[in-house]
Amino acid sequence: MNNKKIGHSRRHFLKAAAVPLAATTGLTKFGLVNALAQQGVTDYRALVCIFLVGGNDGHNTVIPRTSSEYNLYKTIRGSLALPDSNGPVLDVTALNGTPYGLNNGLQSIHSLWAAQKLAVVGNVGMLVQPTTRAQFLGSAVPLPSNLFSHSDQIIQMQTGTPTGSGGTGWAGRVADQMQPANGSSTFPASLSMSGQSIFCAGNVVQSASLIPGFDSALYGLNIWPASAGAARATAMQEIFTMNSGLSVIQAANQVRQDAAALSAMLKSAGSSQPLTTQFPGGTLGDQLKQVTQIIQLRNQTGIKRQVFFCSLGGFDTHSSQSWQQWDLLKQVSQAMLAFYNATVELGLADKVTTFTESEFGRSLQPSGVGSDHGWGNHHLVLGGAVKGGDLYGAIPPMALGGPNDSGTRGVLIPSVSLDQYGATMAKWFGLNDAAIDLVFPNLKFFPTRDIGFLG
Amino acid sequence: MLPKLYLMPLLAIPLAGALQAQTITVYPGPATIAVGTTRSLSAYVPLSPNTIQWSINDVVGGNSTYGTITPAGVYTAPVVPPPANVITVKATSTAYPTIFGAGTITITQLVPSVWSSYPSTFPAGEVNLSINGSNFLPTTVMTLNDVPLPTTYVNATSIKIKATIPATMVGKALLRATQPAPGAVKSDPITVTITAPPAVTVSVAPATAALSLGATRQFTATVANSSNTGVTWAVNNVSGGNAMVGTISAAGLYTAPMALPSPATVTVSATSMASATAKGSAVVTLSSGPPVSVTITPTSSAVSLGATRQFAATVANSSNMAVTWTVNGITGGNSTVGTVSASGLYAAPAALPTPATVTVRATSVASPSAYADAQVTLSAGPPVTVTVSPTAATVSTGNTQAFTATVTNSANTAVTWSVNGVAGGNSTVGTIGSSGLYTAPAVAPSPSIVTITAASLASPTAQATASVTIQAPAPVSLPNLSHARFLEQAAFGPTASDLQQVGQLGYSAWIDQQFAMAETPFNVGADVNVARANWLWRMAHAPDQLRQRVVAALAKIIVISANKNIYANEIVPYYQTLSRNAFGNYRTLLGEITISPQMGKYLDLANSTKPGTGSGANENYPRELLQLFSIGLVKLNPDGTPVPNSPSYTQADVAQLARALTGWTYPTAPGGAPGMNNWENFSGNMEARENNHDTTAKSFLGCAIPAGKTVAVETGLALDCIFAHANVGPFIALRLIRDLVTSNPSAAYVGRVAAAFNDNGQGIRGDMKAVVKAILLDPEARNDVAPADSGRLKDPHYHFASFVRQLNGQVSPAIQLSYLFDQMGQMPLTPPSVFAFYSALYRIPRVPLNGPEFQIYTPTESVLRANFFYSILTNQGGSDVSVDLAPFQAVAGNITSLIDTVDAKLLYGRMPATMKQSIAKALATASDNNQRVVTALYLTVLSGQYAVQF
Repeated sequence: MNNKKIGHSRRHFLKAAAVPLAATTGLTKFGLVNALAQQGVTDYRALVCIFLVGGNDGHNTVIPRTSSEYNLYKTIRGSLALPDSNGPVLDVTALNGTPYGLNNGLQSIHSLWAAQKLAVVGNVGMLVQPTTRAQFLGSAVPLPSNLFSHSDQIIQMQTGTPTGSGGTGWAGRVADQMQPANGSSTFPASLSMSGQSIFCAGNVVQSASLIPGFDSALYGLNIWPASAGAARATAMQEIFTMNSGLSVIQAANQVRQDAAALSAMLKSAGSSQPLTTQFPGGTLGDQLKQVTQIIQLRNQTGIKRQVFFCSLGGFDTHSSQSWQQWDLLKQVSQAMLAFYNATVELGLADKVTTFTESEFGRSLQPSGVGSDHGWGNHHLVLGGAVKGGDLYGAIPPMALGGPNDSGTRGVLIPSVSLDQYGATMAKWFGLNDAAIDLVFPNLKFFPTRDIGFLG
Repeated sequence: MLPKLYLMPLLAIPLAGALQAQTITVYPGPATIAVGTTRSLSAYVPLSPNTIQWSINDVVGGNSTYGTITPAGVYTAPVVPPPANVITVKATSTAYPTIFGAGTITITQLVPSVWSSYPSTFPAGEVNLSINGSNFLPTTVMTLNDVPLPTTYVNATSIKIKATIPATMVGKALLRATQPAPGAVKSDPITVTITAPPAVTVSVAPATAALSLGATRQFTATVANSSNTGVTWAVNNVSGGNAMVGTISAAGLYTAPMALPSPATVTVSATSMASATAKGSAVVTLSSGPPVSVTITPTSSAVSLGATRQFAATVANSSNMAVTWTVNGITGGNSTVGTVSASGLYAAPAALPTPATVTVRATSVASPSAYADAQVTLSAGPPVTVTVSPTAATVSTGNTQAFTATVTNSANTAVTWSVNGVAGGNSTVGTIGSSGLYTAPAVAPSPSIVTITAASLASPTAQATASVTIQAPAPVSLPNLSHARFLEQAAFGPTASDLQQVGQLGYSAWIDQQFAMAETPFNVGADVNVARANWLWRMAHAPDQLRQRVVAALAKIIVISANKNIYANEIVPYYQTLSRNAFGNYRTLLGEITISPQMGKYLDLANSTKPGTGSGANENYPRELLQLFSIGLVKLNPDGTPVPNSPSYTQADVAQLARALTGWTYPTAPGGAPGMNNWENFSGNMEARENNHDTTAKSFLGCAIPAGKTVAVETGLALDCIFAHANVGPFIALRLIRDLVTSNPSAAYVGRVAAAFNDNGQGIRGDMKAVVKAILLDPEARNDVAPADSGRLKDPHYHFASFVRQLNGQVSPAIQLSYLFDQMGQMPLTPPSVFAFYSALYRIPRVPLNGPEFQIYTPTESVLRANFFYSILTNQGGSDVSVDLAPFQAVAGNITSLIDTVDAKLLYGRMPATMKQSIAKALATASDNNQRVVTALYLTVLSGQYAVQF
């Protein structure tokens, strides 16, 4: 077993009826918790999620390299076993000396493992409570609903609830808890670079979205003659700041004022603060470049805590997996490297933590030249605050029908719940235990609240 | 030569091994890349060691001309495309330098985009176009149907075109931006419409003339509709004429012949050089006659210095009455002896000449030997005076009035104009130009009478005034605010005909008429995108507006999303169910939804089984049924306010309810055999499977269901129990009020609607007709004076539909703009989760009020919404959506009328005066009436007043 850091003691789980309804209600008041949660926040911190849409194959993202486990891996994976024609496996060693291999597509961030900025969290997934194979097969514990379904699991991994319930995302709720730290700043605290995302929606904090490369300019101001455009802008400013006497109208106008300010800031961010770091082209590079520009605005906006959502699709590799996954991971690692370098250049490397999520992992046993929908998955965490060069969670034994298999095809029952994964980051972000319990209502069922990869 | 081994990457994998043992393969294969951008290349190197070095056109590492490449294979294209823009990238083994792989990359310019052309409809001939787009370069050339146009670069997003469009291009034409070679690329086109050019015409003046032999007459040709005003002249179709019929010069001077031709009538014609078919003509009647003579009146005159005197000359015996005027033999005179105009107006000099008598002479143009003289005796004279005409006028705001100043006793007739003492006037009192054209201000000043003054430039103390009364223009008729507000709540905003109907029927009868109206069909169809288009269309155009409005509201309470139910037959029947029951009973609706296979799939009630069988009792639907569709999380007072610390149900209730609802499976597919757990199928209702049903006794929400009930009976009992819960009335009332009327209703209002839910007056609970009437006819809904916390932010669907309806627009039933709503957070039929597009309980950030729709109204969404409306206002909606701007264009000449018309259509007369002033200022700089219309509507549409339904 490669499990480390996480104990196996399983507390007898509480009756499900004891789950407090307050945790999922939009009526919950956060004021008290907020007051407890954030005293004297002065620094800037950001959490950046890269969601690998389609279900990244974790089994081929991180592989075992002890000879016995590797041989089992190679036998079971068959046609999918690494290395393949895309290049050699990238060797890494955990702090306890256990060797692992990374997919060749992760070349760009390979060296960050040795630099102890990159860590792997093995076998993370959605759970209601600790679950064994016997419990799973015997339906002895509550389980997330609709396992293996893209639409359901995308929502669950973003809402952080095993039923996809609640209408808010876990990052949005984390941002809710830290909103007092942002003081009077009206700048969005929760931003998606990939369309409206439930991940970013809080009870208090809105899920704001940005379109990478689009400076939120109003088309109607860019007209000929320029004087007419300027006159429209002047009139808008007057109209948006006029006192209508109606609160809802004032609030709608405030959004437009915020938009004008945001657009101005985005324009300036795009030109006035050039970075030496170059971002790779492509959808994820563009998204992380936009995140960087927002982070560059932190002093202008006064914001102290922000969460970001980026995504890259195409990971549903039922066939043609080898090249497709390698190519996608190459995009991921190049973009992650550029983003990390940008945070170094800004002097913020230890203030920004980037992590991957995906709706689920994939089956260890291949299906032809692809793999099928799974459950637990291995994820990457990168940043100056990450205790990197190490593996957290577990890479379960390579065995079909083994102790972590939910069936016979190497579909992993998670060793680490999403609650634990997120709570570890929430703690680093500044939330106290009470606040974290509101964000992750099932965390209390797990023995370890902080799995240790941030500190 | 380079090896021609450009394998596509996907092909390369199965071939890995022997075939490629000696080959390095570069990925990607042939590719294009825009200047200044970066591409990561990789090479598959089946060699050991596998080290390689990269080169561009055989230069290791490349260079600035053809781009650079790092040792890791990151290629950066040059800033400008090289003349030879197809470059070769090589990965060469450092161990075996003869082995390499190569790929080619074509370097292109940045691809430009064209967003709009202004104007987008224009006649052939000379046009000036303003183009908006992106990535324009100074070398960018715009093309029309791929024909290059003279292009002037303004900046990266703006280009101007001044071109002559040939008539052969009349019709629709494609306008693109092209970047020149090397690396030539072109934008996607936009379509412009070229209309037929007006025909060239020529007219000749005078149209008739009578001339003596040998006399001359100047003809003038006017060419219309061509920039080429040149003509060729002919007499009786002989170019330039001849000695028989008379001659005509290139400048149109006709000289009659010396002998009468036969017939004695000739035709002088001018033919356009631009169009040989464009011809004008004049008829000249020739006669032999007595000698030409000239007389002048008066023949003598005394004129004061600086004053003027009109002389008249009469030419006898010639049809050419023209004379030339001289003073002391000087044509037109001069400042010493005085001047004379072509019309005979003599202006005395400023000082007495010596001698003080001068001769004014008129000489016949036709016969220069004929002339007459007048003697003018000059003397120092009377003071200069000025008069203004008219002396009083009434002008509507924004309109113009021409004034004329007459200066007497001075040769210098120039004046300076002022308004209320301000030279040229200003925007408050109106402006006046040097020609005396007064433009009234946009808003009547106070006092509303202003004074126009004309002062002689020669003698500034000589002044005259006129009084102008500025009045508001004919008032724009406003819609009935109460009716318009009602239709914002009961429909997706008012149309002119709906307003008329409500006015005729009154609220209650109009609602009854809507209740009785046939449902607009929502057919399943084959494609969910067609269904999305149908939804956008029906909001704007379905006649049963109240039903559509209630369906939209119910769809935010009882939710199914096309992000899981991705086929039309998995989602549209759900809307049919909402539509069918919108004016029915809420209990019936819950019943039909519960056993629908669409909900069965979305929230997993299909194939939910008793514990120990199949998948077990799924709690997903039972939980959302309680939390979202009926009673909510907390106990509610009858007025909808929460009872503190009182959860309305427990997890145990959910678990019991889940067991009670077990035993439903998908309907058996037509022709298929019924199974215990059928596969997904969506034709008809779900079917009961008693063997999968938990028949034990259950207890939840204070209800008890005895053991042994069938699936259908128990589901009915369970729903009866939920439906009877005291929360349902206030829960549903609050949500419907928030969607239809206002985000922050008073508790009393919620209580009144909840009471109607609880009892429709005839002892029936859940009657949606009673609920809808209670919501819409409540005094709080009908209060036209908005309290401070009233109103609801329009959601993107409503905002769009009401905009189209107010502006008499059209949404295509095949509208393909769903993706724009996706960006704005409201993909039609596709809420992100069972919690709908936004929570009914969402509170406005930093404001102590509820505002559900604000959850998806952040700065970015607000900009996307604004840009969407702008694209519609500027006619970029194509066949998807359009609005009618004609009523605004008709009044655009008057700023006040225009703003009032916008106010009437969009805000029903509630636009604040300060907002009108702001818009009026912006309109003053608009380049034309069309831009005025767009500006006025755009500014209003973006305002908070329009973003909120209040």
